[in-house]
Amino acid sequence: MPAPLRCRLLAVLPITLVATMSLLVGITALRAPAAGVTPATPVTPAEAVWKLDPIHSIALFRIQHLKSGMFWGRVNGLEGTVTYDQGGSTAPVLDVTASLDHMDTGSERLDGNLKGPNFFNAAEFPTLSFKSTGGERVSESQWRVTGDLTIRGKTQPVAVSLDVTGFGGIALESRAGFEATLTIKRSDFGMPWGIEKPTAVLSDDVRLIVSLEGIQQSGG
Amino acid sequence: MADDTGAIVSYVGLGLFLPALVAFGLVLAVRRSPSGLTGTAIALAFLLSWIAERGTLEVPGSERWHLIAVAVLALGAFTPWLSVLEDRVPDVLAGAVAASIVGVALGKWVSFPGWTPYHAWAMGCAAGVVGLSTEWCALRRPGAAIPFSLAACIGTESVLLAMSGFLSLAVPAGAMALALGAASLVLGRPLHARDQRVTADSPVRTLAGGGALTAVATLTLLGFAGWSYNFSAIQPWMWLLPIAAPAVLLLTEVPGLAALSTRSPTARFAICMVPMTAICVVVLYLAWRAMNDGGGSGA
Repeated sequence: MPAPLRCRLLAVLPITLVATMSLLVGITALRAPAAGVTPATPVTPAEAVWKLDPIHSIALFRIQHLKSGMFWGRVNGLEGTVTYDQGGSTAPVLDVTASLDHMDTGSERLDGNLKGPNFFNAAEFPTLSFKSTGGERVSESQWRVTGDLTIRGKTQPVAVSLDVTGFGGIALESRAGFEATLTIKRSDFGMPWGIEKPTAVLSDDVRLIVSLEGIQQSGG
Repeated sequence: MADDTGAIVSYVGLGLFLPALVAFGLVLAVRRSPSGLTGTAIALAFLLSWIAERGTLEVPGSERWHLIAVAVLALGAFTPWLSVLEDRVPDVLAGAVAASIVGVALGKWVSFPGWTPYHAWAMGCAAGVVGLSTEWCALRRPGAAIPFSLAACIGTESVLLAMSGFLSLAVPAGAMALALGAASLVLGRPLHARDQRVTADSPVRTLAGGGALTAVATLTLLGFAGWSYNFSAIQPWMWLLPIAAPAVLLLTEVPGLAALSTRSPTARFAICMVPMTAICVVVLYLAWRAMNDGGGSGA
């Protein structure tokens, strides 16, 4: 091999090696933060504010129709924050808002009925909200959170069973997941239509399952 | 299932038919009293139905649409005084004063979500102008045609409200339409009379004396409320056209049609009823089509 060519190869080889290693490190970093695995950067903080990702945060509601089937609907695009001290004894602090514009039952006509004055009256009360006021740990990943739920302008204290479902993320962001379940009586929020008059069109009890996914904003 | 059927029958009976029946009874009872009490009777049908539906009459109410009940209560109390006024001043002047008061009151105190003051004043103007023209026509034409026409318009708004899912307002509106339709049967013979001014000792009853103003003002409130709280496929013009429909009554003042209308009671009735009924039928058909094009069940 001629000397100039050898010199050129010796010069190019380290560059190629460094580039290949960089690529491998990059690919590993992208793939590494699988569910349940704390990403290397940034470190999951002791306490952090997680801003809800509206695409991955939804509320499902379940109500009995005509004393027979259980009907499910959802409200997409939840917004707000969860403040959570992962290792500490402080209960997660939830501040969640849902816009009734994002009501989704799979039927536009039914969406319209639910937004109307017989139910949510979205023209006057376009949002629902929950603000936590306290809570206690039930198990390592489960909390009983108390707070104020506001629907149709009426605020009622409620207790929510909250699971911390996991921590993960991708690249430079960290994510945390929570799932809240509770059952409310819609008559407590000024929505009595169809419970007694006319009777049993829809049940009074409404079960809510709220899935929250937050992106870390601050803390640690 | 039998329990449910009974409950639905009692819901409809209590909310729709019983209030209408009470109002109809009141019309029968006051048949020989000032005609403006018909306005009070139909307001009573609305309010009784409202109470049957909601269990209470909220004054002033926690939501804006509750103002409709307050307004109907005020209309039922205020408009019969027009019959007293009409005996003392020229009827057009009396009607103009009363319609102006009603229009200004609605524009000033009733407003629905997302409204600017312009919306409120537009509603007040609509109630005032259509109310004045209808009241004036009702005074000159005792008989069943005008009450029937107004019942059809209010009934149309009731059906639109039911289609859009606003049953809490659809039921009282339906009760008022039923009461007015039933009252038309006893409001006088012939079906449609022209140029027979109603006086205290008239042999026929009419909606004049504030009754037409009550009906039109309520109709206006229903249409604007339906539009403001609408989340269905029903278009704004479908809500608003039935409000303007009573103005079709002025057609009978057009010289050619007026001459035609003197020929027979049936022709007079038809000239009054056909255009307004056509408007209601077209609106309902297009609303039904719009709702069904969207697919799904609203139940």
